Amino acid sequence: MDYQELYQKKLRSPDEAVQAVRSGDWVDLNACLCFPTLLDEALSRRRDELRDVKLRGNLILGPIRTVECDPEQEHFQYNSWHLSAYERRLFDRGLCSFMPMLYRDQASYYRKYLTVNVAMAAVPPMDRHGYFNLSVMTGVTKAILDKADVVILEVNEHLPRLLGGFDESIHISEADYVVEGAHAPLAQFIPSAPTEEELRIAGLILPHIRDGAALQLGIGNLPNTIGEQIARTDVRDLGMHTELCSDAYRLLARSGQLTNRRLALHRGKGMAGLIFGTQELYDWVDDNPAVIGAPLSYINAPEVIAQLDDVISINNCIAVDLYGQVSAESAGFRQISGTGGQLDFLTGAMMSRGGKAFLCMTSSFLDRSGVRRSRILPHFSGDIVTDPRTLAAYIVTEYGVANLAGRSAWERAEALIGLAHPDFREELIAAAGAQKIWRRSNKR
Amino acid sequence: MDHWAEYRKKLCTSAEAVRLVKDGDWVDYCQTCSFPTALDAALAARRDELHDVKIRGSITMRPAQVVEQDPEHRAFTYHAWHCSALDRSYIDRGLAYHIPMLFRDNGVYYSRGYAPVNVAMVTVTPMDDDGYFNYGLSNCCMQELLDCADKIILEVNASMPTVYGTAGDHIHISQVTHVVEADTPIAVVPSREPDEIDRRIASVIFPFLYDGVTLQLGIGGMPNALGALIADSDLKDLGMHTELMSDGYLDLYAAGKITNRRKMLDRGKGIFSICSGSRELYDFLDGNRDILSAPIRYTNDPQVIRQLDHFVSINGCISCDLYGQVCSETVGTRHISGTGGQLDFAAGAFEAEHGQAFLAMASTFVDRQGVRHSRILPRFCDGDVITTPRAQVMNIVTEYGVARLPGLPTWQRAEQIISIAHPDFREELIAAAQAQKIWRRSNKR
Repeated sequence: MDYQELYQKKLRSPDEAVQAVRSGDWVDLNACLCFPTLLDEALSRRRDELRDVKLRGNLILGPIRTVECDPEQEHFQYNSWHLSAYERRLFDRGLCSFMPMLYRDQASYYRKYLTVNVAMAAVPPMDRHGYFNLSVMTGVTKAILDKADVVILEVNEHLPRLLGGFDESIHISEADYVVEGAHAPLAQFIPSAPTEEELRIAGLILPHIRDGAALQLGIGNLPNTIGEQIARTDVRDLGMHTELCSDAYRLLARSGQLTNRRLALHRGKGMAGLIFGTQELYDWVDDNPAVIGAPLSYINAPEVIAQLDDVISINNCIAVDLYGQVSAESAGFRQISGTGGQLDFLTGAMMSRGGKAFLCMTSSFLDRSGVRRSRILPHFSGDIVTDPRTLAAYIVTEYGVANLAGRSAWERAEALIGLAHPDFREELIAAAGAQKIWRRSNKR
Repeated sequence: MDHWAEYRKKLCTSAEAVRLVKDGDWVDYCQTCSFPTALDAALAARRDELHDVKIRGSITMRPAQVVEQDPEHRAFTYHAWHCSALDRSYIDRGLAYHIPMLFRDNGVYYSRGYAPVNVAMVTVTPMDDDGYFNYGLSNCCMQELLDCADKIILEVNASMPTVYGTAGDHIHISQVTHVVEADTPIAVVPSREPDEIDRRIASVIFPFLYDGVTLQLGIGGMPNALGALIADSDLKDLGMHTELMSDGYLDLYAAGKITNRRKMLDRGKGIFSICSGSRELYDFLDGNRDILSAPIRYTNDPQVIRQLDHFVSINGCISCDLYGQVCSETVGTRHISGTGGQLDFAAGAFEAEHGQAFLAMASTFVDRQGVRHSRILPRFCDGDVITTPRAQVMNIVTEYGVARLPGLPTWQRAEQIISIAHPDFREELIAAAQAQKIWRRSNKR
């Protein structure tokens, strides 16, 4: 059959397509910019006829109508793999549960354990071969669609097309229904001007970035700042092997420093599983042969990362205790984000020849009442440990860089207190003494 | 030079050998059975003339004289990569410090210079006629440790069995500075008898085993109870791929359960990296061609473990929270043991085709005052160290059952975990889950 004919045969209105959902179902809404807004709206209109429909999503920027229309959660209950700022607000309102995961394993949870009755995903228009590209979310989408009993694709005319890699597209023959409609322009992440602390942290990391390094930059302002700072140096031939592609990479490509030429795998190709940034970024990745999409089960696999030399992984964290445990996802039991790929890249960078993984944070923050609080704590109280102390190596604050690998408890305490805001060092030393991790010869 | 002539030239007393140690040095004792008893005593005797000498050990099996003779640690500071009961008591008393590590990376800390070594002192077998000493019961990261040491002193002990290795199992006389001879038999540890709860946990895990699985067992009463169940069953053709060889495996070998015939790697050979147990176990390993020691960078590498289809990893833990975070090494900030290979095997077993990883504990414990406490906590508040992050925990086991966690949202995790809590604590855990917003109205009690 001709693909256009097949397309027309599967084309439905959003309201018709969501008839596939039944009470008690698990429905996947995909992730980030590939969240299907029209299908979500249509599903929310079926609220009163459905009960106990469980929804899964990931980094969805909102609003999610199915969640907003049912604050009692009689009809719809929402779960996220990694919280966006919007989902964090849902979490605080009790409208979102978190699903702990490692990005590299997420596809295997679907394959081995999870039920997906209906999967819905936004995709760019079909090409002449009958394929829909998975666009800015090649990360786990194919695994979700493969597992689903029913697949509904929502064509979003704004989504860019990413060359693969693999698992970067789905064929019309694999979809059950297709819907169309008008969409708002894609949401953007616009970085704000860097703070002085961020500039100092970037300055501390820069000397570790050598020609030919394979860069993994996490989400947020700091990675962008580091990208901007690298663009001012003469470091050359950088590579992109990352779960998230942000504007930092676009800047480095523009300055001619991102060539991917020295990557030991996929030479000449920068690889990402998720793209989020400005419209300029979306235009840059669109049909760009130097940027390929692939699943995170591959990109984030430590044995893949290990094959690349000089992997430099840079991620944010929230707090560190004196043992070197790192929380990058919660404040107490309030979920902030998720583990994402941080632990995958820590593990892989440790195995990479010349590899280094940096976990960065400001040494302190001001709380709502204007009181300064240390992010280096004697020990945790209810915070989720994202990175066990056995895997966290380089910790960075505006006061310096400490490598904890192979270091004993007292050496760790000394190094971490050296990164703390000076106002807190004495009390941290006292705590280290009480916790028996301070040696008489420790340096203050 | 003739090897024996070189041997005689390098042979000296322990007191002479330890003169190599200088102020500020890092000295390394390797671990468990490789602990150099005679050299340790000789080094301790230099207490009044040395300063700031840092010593690394691991799973110390008999009193370290550098600690015992220097309680103020004026001359010596002792460290353990992984803690025995003795190390734990040293740390409790402020006499030693833990060094956090992943076993698979233990060698890397040495080879990358993160853990420097000025003088290595380790126990080995007597030299053979080719000039080689065998590392015996500790393959571990002995090679990386000795490769990065400035000076090497071997303590020859005839009671150390010869164990063939896949790699890194021997050193030549030409590579060492001194040799000393010792006759104190290497240490043994008694096997712990299972109690009633151990037996119940073992019986919860047992149905997950089947013919041909490759087993990684930790040490203790529960693995021993499981071993006894297996020995009495009609399971067959099991494989051994483990970091720690213990008496539990000896019983399985004795019962003919381990053939290693169906393993995807090292077919026909049982593989381990370190060993502690009874003298009978050491004698069993001596020259045994059925069993090889391997570097811990191999045994504990998730990339290796994942190639072993039907891999089953069973380890102990101390407590967990309702999110599925697992603590296996501290109680609050009190240090108990270490991460060891738990995270290595949790990662590798999860990724193996048909792999299973179990973290097992009794649902409760009774404190010194006789009060019962749940090991399943609403959340960790007292500085407990998380050994296995919730994103890498596969199955948690108590005597009440198994909670399988991958891919589950927090509310399903809470339900699963509370279902294996002691019944006396379930209501209060549900109340805590509600307060922590991880309990849905439809959750099952």
